[in-house]
Amino acid sequence: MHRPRPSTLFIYALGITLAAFILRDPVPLAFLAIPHFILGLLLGYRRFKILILIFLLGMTGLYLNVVAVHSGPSLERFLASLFSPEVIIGFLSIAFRLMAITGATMIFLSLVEPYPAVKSLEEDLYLPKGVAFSIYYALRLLPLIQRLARDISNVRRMRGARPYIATPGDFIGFLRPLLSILVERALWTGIAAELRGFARRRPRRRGYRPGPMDILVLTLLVVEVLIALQLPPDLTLQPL
Amino acid sequence: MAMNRGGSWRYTAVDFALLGVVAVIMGIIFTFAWSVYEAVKTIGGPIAARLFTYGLWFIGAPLAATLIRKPLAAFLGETLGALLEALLPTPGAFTNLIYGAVQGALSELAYLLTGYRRFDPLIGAVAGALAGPGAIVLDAILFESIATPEVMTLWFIAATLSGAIYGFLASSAASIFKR
Repeated sequence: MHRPRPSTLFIYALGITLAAFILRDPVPLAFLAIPHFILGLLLGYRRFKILILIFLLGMTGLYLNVVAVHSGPSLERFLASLFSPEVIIGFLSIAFRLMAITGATMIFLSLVEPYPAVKSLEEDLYLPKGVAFSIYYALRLLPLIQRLARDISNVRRMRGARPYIATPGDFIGFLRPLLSILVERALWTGIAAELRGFARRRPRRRGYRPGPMDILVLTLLVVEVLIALQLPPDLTLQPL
Repeated sequence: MAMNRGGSWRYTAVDFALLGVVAVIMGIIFTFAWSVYEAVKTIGGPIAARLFTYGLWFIGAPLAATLIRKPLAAFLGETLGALLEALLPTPGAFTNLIYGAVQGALSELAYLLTGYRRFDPLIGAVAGALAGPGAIVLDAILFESIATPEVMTLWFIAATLSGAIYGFLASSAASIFKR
């Protein structure tokens, strides 16, 4: 069976994200969130353990935030409204939105590696060649910058400075050495690319030609969004 | 600063490689900024979190603009950093792209208003500050972070100040690389 193209999955994930941004009520958001989050978890729980952990911690913070917004500054009212229906509905509509977005992203990233994703965006969706070059270059630099950041952190620790960023001064302390190495490197990479004819290179454009699986995925996106738009905002408003 | 008085639109491979550098630095900073944000929010509350960390998300624009000194560099720097953040990924997932594009467009205004003639740290601070209100508006839409007018005003001020501080710092760190 043919797999959908990475650009199709990108459109799908972006479409779900935009729909989650637009929809405001818990029921339509739940309709988008629950299947995407479950599928995203099934596909990506090994690769995105940390992301899922941060997401769950964020949910706890979000719940407390919703309680605080509803109760105001009083501790007594805070405790009283901890499990009130307004708080729960308020929390669920935001939580479902975030679940839909995180789920769609996990599905996309579990099925597609970054390099083929960028290549597909360039070939199918006419991502400018310079922008594609920047992202390729950034992805190639990623392991190097992680090593550099560790080295800078170690040197700072040896010099008695904070090995992590806590103040604007630390931020500058990390940024300057990183830039001094990476800017020099980028300069020569750019010159080498120009000498190899970067300006005259015509990227291979095949245009977006969806296969059967792509059409299926895009149809699914349209159907999901249309159903979500038709759903009632709140189950309690349903006539018996 | 020999290049680009008045703003040449032609990007070379060097410019795109520099955008790649900005994107990867942003990718790393954005990734860790989430934990710093959560930590500061737990200790100091939402206003302190916005004041001390929001600016970290806005530095892609002043950093790219100061390094590249061409029109759209600020927008591309912020947006590509956000795209990389989405691909890595971070807890913001695909929403980063929306935030990146909006913040980048707002920061670009600072350079546009100077006719792309000034790329000093002061304009970097303005670029960072302009991104602040955009982030607060998007927070209100996405996370429904809406509070009383007084608190919202404080959030706007904190995000704008934070953007100005980090924008100034990023721009001054990049301005030592004269091209």
